[in-house]
Amino acid sequence: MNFQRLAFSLNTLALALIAAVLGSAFVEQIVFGELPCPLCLLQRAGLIAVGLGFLLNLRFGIQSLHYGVTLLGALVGAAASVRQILLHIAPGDPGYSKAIFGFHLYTWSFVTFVCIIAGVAVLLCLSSKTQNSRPVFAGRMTGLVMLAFLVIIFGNLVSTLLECGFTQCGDDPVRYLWLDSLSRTFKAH
Amino acid sequence: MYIVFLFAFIACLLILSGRARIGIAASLITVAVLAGLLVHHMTDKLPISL
Repeated sequence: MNFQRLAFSLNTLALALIAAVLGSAFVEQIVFGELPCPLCLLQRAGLIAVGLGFLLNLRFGIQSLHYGVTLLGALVGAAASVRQILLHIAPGDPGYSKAIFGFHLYTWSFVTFVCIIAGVAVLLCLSSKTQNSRPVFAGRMTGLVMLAFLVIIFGNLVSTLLECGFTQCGDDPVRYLWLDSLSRTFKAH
Repeated sequence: MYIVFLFAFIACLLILSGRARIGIAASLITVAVLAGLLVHHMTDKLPISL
């Protein structure tokens, strides 16, 4: 397997993992009824921005410009994670939502963004000779991953509108703003 | 907050439809909007309610 093919496979894998993480966040939101806070939404958007860079690579060939989009998205996402970590860093603070393997989701989010930055840096070092390569390896699996990513973004758009409407999201949301308005409207009639 | 997902969705559609330059521009705008929303969340100083 040459490096170009390996880099393309790694980009596909990264986009698939991002879609899986965002999908699992959706499952947690819908099944367990845990609404995402504003900073959680910003971290989701950071992951999506990272995914856009990988998507650009898969669609138009591997270029450093596309990796730049990924790095910028990861930096802003990491900043949002650090912001939330610092908000809950005081002793005795239980943190937001539940912990997984001893860490809260925003801490895992920060670890993920750092890993993405490190991984992309390695790929950039290795891919200097394969710039502007065309995506000749696109297959059915890559197409499915791209489609799943698009659906996840649309899902987040709809979910955020249902939760916050066109206004600023509440700091500790417990209900869907638009769904509540709709149910009140139907009850009034 | 919906605005960042709206820009991301538009960027994704542009990329998938094969428009490279405008897709990259939309992706960068998405990152800029995300950074702006983060600054707004930390400072509450920007004149927006998104």
